[in-house]
Amino acid sequence: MTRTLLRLLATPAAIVVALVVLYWQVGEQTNSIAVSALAGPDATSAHAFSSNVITKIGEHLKLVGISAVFVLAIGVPLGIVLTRTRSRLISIPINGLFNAGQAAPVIGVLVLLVSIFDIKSWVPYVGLVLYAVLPVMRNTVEGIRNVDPGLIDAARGQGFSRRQVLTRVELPLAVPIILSGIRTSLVLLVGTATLATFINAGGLGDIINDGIKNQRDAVLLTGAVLAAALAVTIDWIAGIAERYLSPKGLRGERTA
Amino acid sequence: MAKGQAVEIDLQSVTKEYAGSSVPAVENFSLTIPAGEIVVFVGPSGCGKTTTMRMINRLVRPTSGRILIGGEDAAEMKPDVLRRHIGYVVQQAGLLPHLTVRQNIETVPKLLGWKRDRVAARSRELFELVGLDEQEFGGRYPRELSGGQQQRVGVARALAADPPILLMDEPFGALDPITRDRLQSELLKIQRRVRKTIVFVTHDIDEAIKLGDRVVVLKERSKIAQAGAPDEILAEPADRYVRAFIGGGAAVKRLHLVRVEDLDLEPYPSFTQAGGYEEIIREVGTGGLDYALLLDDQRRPQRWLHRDELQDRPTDPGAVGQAVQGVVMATTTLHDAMDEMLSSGTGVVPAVDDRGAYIGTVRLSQVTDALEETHHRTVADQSDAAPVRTLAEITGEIDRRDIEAERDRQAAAKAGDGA
Amino acid sequence: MRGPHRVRLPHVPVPPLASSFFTYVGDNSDSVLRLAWGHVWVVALSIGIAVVIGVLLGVLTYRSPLASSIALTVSGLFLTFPSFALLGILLAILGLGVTPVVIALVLYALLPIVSNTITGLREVDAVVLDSARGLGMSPVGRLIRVELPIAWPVILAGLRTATQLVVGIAAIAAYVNGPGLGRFIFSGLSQLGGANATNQVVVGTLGIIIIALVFDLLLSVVGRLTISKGIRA
Ligand SMILES: Nc1ncnc2c1ncn2[C@@H]1O[C@H](COP(=O)(O)OP(=O)(O)OP(=O)(O)O)[C@@H](O)[C@H]1O
Ligand SMILES: [Mg+2]
Repeated sequence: MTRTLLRLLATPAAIVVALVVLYWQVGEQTNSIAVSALAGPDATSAHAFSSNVITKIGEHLKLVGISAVFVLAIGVPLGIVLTRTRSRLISIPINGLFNAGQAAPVIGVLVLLVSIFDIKSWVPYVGLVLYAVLPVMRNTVEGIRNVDPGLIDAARGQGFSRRQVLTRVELPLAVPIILSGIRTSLVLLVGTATLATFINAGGLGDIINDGIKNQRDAVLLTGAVLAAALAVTIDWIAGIAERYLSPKGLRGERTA
Repeated sequence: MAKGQAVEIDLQSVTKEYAGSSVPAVENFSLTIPAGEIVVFVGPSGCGKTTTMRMINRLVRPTSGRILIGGEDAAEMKPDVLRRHIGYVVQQAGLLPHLTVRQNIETVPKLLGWKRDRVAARSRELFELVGLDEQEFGGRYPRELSGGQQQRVGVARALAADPPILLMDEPFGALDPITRDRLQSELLKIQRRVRKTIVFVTHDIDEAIKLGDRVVVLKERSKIAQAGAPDEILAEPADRYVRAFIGGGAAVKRLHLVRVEDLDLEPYPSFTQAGGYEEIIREVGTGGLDYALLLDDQRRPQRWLHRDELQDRPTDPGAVGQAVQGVVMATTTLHDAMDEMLSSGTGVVPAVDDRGAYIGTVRLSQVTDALEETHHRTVADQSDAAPVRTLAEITGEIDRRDIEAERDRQAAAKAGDGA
Repeated sequence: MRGPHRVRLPHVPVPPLASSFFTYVGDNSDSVLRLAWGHVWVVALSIGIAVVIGVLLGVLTYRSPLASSIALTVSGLFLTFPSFALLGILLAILGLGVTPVVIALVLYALLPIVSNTITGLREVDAVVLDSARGLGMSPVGRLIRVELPIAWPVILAGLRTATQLVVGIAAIAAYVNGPGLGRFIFSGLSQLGGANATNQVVVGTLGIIIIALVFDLLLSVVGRLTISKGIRA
């Protein structure tokens, strides 16, 4: 118990420490390039959590949040559909897509999308969703395929219809694996969203990029550490959700 | 299908050919399963027992032939609806791991759209029926139960909507022998209350004999080698195949078929409290016996008192004599009764009714007499089968253990171990 | 999400992609090959280093639950960091060039390798180990002759995952002067709308996909050659 509690608290503690160190390291910036990157052009001084940084965190969260909704809305149903058919006509090309999709560099996909569609507000979302939907889809398929066929048989024997088998047996039992796919996706989304800067879509990538282009390490570190902290935080929250949203009968030790 | 009321199942020339297999798994199988009986399919692995059974609830669709359930063609019912009216129990219980025991039991009533009170009342009944404490087990998850407890839940779940039919596919196959034995007995007890038409699949001939009103011995492609009452099959195996399948010890197996209540139970003298010793001593004396039995206020057997101990007219009879080592139920088979005597090391055990109240005693010699009788009936058919253990061997073993146990008991009594 | 409500056909830059694409690759085959080679090289180097460190970490920690959970947590942490952020942090510390890129790629490759090494080694049957001990093998002998060979398929699977990951991330590294096909992507990006922008992006992206698939194929061949027939799935 104390060990799980420790593990539960260690991550946020580490994040807080990292943020404090960042704040202290960046300190009071007066250089105009750094100030403009962190606090906007009109400010005179800036620190690691100045207004522009907060705006960029907001943009980043928006990119991740909206994409996550689409990833869920597309990934889970698509995964389910894939398990409903035994047709190789569908499963083989899908597997190929999985593999090629994994091998494709996100940055290439994003840039390709803008070079085809120009810079439009929805383009980054398409790129992010395309990339992050794969783990959810794959884990949904795997989670459902992993369900003990004996259980499905027993449920059919009780008179569950196919739909009931899906909603009351297969999906609940697949929940832990689906959740872990969602967790992977969320972390991927935070990561890919840092690349949105290259297609003018904002987010913390803007700050990192500003720092690199203008050779201002304080700015670069602010963006990078915050992006990393965001990823770790979201992973931590998703980990907790994974733990507590999994059906009770499937987790933990025997309580008997 | 009338709810609850057992129905007849009629399989007419049923054949199943699985796709991609050249020989049918079940070939031209015809059998009528009478309402309210337990019919056991027994046969070696792969002979088609499961396939035959699963065609009844259409988990397997017959290639040809008809199956009538209560006179209606099963093919004309919607499979999901049909299955909700046929209880189904499988080997590993197949409980849904993410649902509690109570939720598992309530599955089918809920699928059938019962009202909440009715579901709750029914699940209370079922917990009681399968001997699980609702308070203790209702909220647990399947993995927090032992295999035997899981299987009880499996049976409760199958009976939940009070289906007229119960299909059981090796439900006790994965349990240890002691638990299996207990659950078999409880199934029989439950069946006496619910009277379902039960189709039971096993490859254990002993289980078949113990449970079946009828036993159907199957060979490959689900061909019926012999079908009949267990007694008939043991006494007159149709051919070598059946004989080989029954194996040795047919005589001992037949003890499965006789129950304690079928014997003339000896009325050993019994009493419930101190006092009135004169009459008991007289009863013991006229019966030419050595012991009397002390009962508690619900007439449950407690202690054996020797006549010498009765002579002392103890004020607290509960403090003298020997604690009763084991009791048998009226419904216990002689096979199990013999087992009880062998393991408790006594030649005489009290028999009790459903509530545990004393109804008489069984003596080892009564069991061996019954054995002798069945042995003579079967031995003639056994010429080319594996040799049966001789009666002398069996009774010899009993005598020896009986004597050893008696010696131990006396030693213990000398050491002052009265409690 | 804001966006056009009418469905519009994508605006494909003229001239038609197919013909000009191959012309483009033909005309630039030198730089394509050079950058592809750079990509392969930086990936191979990083993976090589990661294998040595990762397997070593796995071997050193798999017997202790505490040590292995620390190793897994730390390497898992690096995997969580956005690649662009990690590159940025390393850049701030180490400056531009190949070194921060290789370090970042190694850090990314570690988790799959460490975790699969630990899993693989833990899965070795205790009975097998016991009999190896019975034959008089020393702990090191057991590790080299029994445990690692049996764990090898699992370790190799981790290696494949790590390679896929790293090939993709190396694309971003081009932005901080790392070698590789990412250069095409960023150069296309900087000339967006220009004549060859799309061609450059496609060369970079496709090239990286091909490199990833070739690496995967190679590793699967390595698997066929090195995994004992007795334990092949
Ligand atoms: N789904 C299936 N597809 C193809 N063949 C099957 C299928 N199920 C069973 N069989 C075959 O049908 C035959 C009968 O199988 P069945 O499961 O009915 O045997 P069983 O008597 O129940 O055996 P056991 O005692 O091992 O459970 C076997 O030869 C088996 O291989
Ligand atoms: Mg079977």
